[in-house]
Amino acid sequence: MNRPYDEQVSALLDGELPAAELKLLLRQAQRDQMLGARLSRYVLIRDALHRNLPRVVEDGLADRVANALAAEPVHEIMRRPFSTVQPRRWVQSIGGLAIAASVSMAAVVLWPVQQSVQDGGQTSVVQTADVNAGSSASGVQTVASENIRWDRLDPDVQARLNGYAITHDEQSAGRQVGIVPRHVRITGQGTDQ
Amino acid sequence: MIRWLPRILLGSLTLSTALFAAGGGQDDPRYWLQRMVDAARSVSFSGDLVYVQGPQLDALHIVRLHDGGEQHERLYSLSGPDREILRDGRQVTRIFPADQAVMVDQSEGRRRLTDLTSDQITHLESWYSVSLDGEDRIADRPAVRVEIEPRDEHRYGYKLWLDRDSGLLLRSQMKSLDGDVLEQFMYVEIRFNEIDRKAVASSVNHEGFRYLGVESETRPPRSGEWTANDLPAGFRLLSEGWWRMPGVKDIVRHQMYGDGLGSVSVYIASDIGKPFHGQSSHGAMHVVGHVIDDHQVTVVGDVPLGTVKRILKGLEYRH
Repeated sequence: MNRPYDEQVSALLDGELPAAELKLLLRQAQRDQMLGARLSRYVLIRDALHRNLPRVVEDGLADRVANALAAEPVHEIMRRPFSTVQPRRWVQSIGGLAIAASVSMAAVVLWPVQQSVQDGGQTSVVQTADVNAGSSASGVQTVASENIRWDRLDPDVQARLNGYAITHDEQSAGRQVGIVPRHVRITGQGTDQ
Repeated sequence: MIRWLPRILLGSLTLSTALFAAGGGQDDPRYWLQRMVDAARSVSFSGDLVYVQGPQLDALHIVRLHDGGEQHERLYSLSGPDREILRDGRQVTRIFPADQAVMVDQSEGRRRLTDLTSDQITHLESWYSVSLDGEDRIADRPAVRVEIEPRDEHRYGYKLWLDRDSGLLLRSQMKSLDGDVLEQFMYVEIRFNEIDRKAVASSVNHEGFRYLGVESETRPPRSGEWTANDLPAGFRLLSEGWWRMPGVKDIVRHQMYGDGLGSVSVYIASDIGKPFHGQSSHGAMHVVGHVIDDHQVTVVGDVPLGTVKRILKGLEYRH
């Protein structure tokens, strides 16, 4: 028998939880500490699978990851303009986890454009999303700097962001002082697999 | 009239350089920046360059021809998967043979009217400290070094190496606020010989490749207004347009902001599709996304992450 919210938690980790359901899940997690702890554990497991954890996992890591995510700049900047409520501190952690999960799943390969199609949905990531900017300083969690295959990366999101990045590079080149010759960024980003 | 255009263009470029020369001359870093801009518009050449971003190193070959007032260019990778980009006047074609894909952008011509002016170069000094930093040698050619340091935390710093003879940018570094090099390129060989038209044509037969078009569109009816209410000092709206882009069903609104060196694009799509919340970084370029008022808003910029976030946070939609 499934536990309550199993489907939502699974969708969240897959980066497929609709925004409306995310709000509901976070609201429920505010009331249910078990659910909050479960979310923390799952995110840790996911990070371990994706080799984002430090080599030595210490006791209390879950709490420290949660605290680090609570203080994470991404979470702060994303929460303030679009939310009217001031959630409790540990709820902020969950919010941070949610954002970390969605960002991880939506981490982009800006180039090459159509890599995912060729690989049958699998995609190489040149650089992981910097979701742990606030935590690296605390030594809690490091972001892997090597290339990681994100087999569950959403190819639709990736394709959209690829197009945006390329168009930005192209458009800005004609309107600004050219610091890098046009297209070099685009052409020069495709060797990592 | 057409045949006179190249001479008129060349004359205006020479005049703009001469105006700076009349001011500070070769001791004035603005003179060299203007020469760099002029060279990018007028000098034909071919060369090999290396591009470095983080641990990634790529080698590329470039051929650029200015002919009849238009720029034709071929740029292709010498390492890793085949990638080739062709510019033919207004049209830019990006060919990815490994993916059997071609991406065509026909928007190029719209930008010519907004190319950088000498006023904008002067404007840079409000937000950057620009100075000459001695001489060097790049690709076996004497080069002048220009240091561009940001006056605040909203932009990156740059170091430029310009060819003493032509003014062409031979090497550049983009630097973080801490002085770390985020991205750089450098020519290892460059030739200012006569370029044949065939040299800027593609060597890849892309017949049958998947076509991905980026096309400009007219403003859709009943589209509201999006305003960036919290731009860092020096940033201003450079352009606004509507595009049909691969991977997005509806037309995408695109606003570009910049301070003359750093730039930020805001993409607004009413077709949210699979929403993108959060951020990702790729070297010096940052992407931040969020759903605002039932629109997927994505901000992309080659500026510090804080600047990208600040611009996203300050966006306001009015119906």
